[in-house]
Amino acid sequence: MLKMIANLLKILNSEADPFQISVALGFSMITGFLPLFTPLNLVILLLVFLLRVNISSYLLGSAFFAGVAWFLDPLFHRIGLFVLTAGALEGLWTAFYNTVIGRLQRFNNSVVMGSFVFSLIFFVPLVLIMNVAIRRYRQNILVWVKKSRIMQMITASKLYSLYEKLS
Amino acid sequence: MKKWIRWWGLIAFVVVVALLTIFWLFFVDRIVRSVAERTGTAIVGAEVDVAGARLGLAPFGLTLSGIQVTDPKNPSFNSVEIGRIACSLDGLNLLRRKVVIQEMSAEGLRFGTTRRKPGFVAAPEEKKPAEKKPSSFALPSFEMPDVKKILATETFGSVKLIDDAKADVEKRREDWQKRVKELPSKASLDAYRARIDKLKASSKSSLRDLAGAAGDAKKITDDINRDLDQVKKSRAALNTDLASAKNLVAKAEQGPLDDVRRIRDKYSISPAGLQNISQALFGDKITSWLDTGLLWYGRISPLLSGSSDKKGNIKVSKPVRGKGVDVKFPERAPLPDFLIRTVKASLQPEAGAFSGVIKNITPDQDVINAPLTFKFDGSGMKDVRAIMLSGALDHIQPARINDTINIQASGYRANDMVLSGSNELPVSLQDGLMDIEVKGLRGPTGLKATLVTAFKSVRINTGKQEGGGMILASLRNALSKVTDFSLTADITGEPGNYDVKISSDLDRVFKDAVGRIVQEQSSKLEKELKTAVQAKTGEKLKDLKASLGGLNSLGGNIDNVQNQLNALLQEAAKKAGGKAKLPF
Repeated sequence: MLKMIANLLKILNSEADPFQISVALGFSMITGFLPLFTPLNLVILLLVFLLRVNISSYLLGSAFFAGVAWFLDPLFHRIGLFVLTAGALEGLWTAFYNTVIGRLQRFNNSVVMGSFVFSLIFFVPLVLIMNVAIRRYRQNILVWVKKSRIMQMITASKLYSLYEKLS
Repeated sequence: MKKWIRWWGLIAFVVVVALLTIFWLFFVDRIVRSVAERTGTAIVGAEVDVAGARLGLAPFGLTLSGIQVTDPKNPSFNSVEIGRIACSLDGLNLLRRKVVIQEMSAEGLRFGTTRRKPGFVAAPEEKKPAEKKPSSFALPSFEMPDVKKILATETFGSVKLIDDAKADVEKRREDWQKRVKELPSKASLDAYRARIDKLKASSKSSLRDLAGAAGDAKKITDDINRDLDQVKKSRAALNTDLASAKNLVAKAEQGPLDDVRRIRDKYSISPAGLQNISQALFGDKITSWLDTGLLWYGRISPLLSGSSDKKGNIKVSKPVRGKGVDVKFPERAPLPDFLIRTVKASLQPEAGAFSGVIKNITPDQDVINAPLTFKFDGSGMKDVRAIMLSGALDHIQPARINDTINIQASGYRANDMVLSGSNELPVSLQDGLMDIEVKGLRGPTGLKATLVTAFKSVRINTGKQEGGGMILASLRNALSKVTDFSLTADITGEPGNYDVKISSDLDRVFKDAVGRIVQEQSSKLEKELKTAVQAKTGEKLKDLKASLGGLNSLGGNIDNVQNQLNALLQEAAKKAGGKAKLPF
């Protein structure tokens, strides 16, 4: 059992390059902000599996951004309503509204549209910022974390030693 | 490319999606059941329980079983319990997030069933409608009024009226007495007579004497005429005053009778009061039925309103579940987001046959351009011989709502039905049959409804048989003999603020039963009041009439003076024309 969990952790923590983690966090923002069971999230999931990005970061990041979304929903609603009711885009939205994918994705909902627009706008900046932040973290803070009591307890555990053996 | 793609991830993705699908298939029934319960509770405002749900994939359809809808007014009971709901779903439209059900069947409907445990009520009970008008629903007092108490508390306007009239007439009499003294007195009249006699005795032997006599005669007649004018004017003025005084006296004489009538009408039961007994007896019961109907109408009506906000050409609506708003763009093939074309419903078989059809259930009636209609028929049921219920909720144009309902029920069994909870006269139907007809309309101008009920073979219970006096005893006796009667209620206004006007042929029963007693009571009261008022005002009226008589008698005095002046005038004219003796 422990070996299975260790293997799983190995898989999840592969692709540990800062850029791979950053891209995974970018995808997790989209997943976290949007409703879970939508075609777009299915595409994001496929990209996460297909591209070499860090899966555990994606999973943790999705949970984190889902929590943040609860606070940002009013902002998403205002952005979404503005975008959906923009006269210049009415033709586009009308065409999209009349497709199955468009209806399944619920793009006509103000919060969904607002969160999607927000995620798109902040995807690239988030990836770049997280990339820099991870590199800085590894250079300056990681050593201190490794020396902390909690980390020492984790590294002393059986599960961690098995994980170390496999990786 | 190899650096960026992990091809085994594709397999992992397929495996994950497959696992999720299996998980969904495994738990979808529970998810659907939970969604149905939450959505139903949100709509009804009270707990909705679903015993089981099954989502079928081939054919694509949904079956719900054991649905219980808590009665918001009485959470220990269900408003309705449905044994089974089954429907087929349009898969393609479902992908477009449109729930379109061509046909749904609802079987095993039951009403008012007991719950295992009280259901949760989400919203507090609707505010009571605007305060009912207690005077319309209050029974008139049947107590015999105490005359002594009435005399002690009531004021009699006639006493003051008589006193004021007497003061007025007295003043006039005094004024006239003074004026009469200013008229020519006996001494003046004697003086005239003396002048006339002197004129008669004077010599008329010469022309000069004749001329002198003529001049004297003219002077006398002028003086008498002047006095006569004054007397005539006085007489005319006195006539006017007398007429006015007589008018005052007539009013004063009427005053006590008006007092008696006013007090009698205030304290005794009038025929108008008897005619309102139906309103007082049945008003609360009918209002309670109406409130229940309007409660459910109030819950259903907003669901048919659809989207009402518009931004330019675009409509927005609040999703039933979820956040934000859904912006609705024009569709190539417009369909409502939720539509049930036909619902076929039927009652539990052992309860008789009651079935019907509801058509076009959707909050977007403007999209399909058709109102919600319903028609139910029942026969051979436990509590009613036959029932027909039909109507339409037309919200195609939200600003011009046109909702109608027609109910016809025959042979509705009324057992222990409380019609009036009044302490003085509680009325309940021990048993009997009712034929009920209801026609209701709610339109842009408001609510208008008529309820006509014919009661047949009824046995009326009026509570304890002793006490309350003769009138209540007569009413109870009359009601106990009633076996058939009818009742009509007209309702107007708005759902939150309506008026109920009730009439019944029981009003004639009440009038016949107690009319004579009420009349006797009223006459007795009137007689006693007359005696009492007479005691207060009799002497005063006598004095008043005496004062009027005194004023009238002054007219006689004036007439007497006038007659004497007329006689003197005639005499003066005669004596002025006496025999003249010529000189030769």
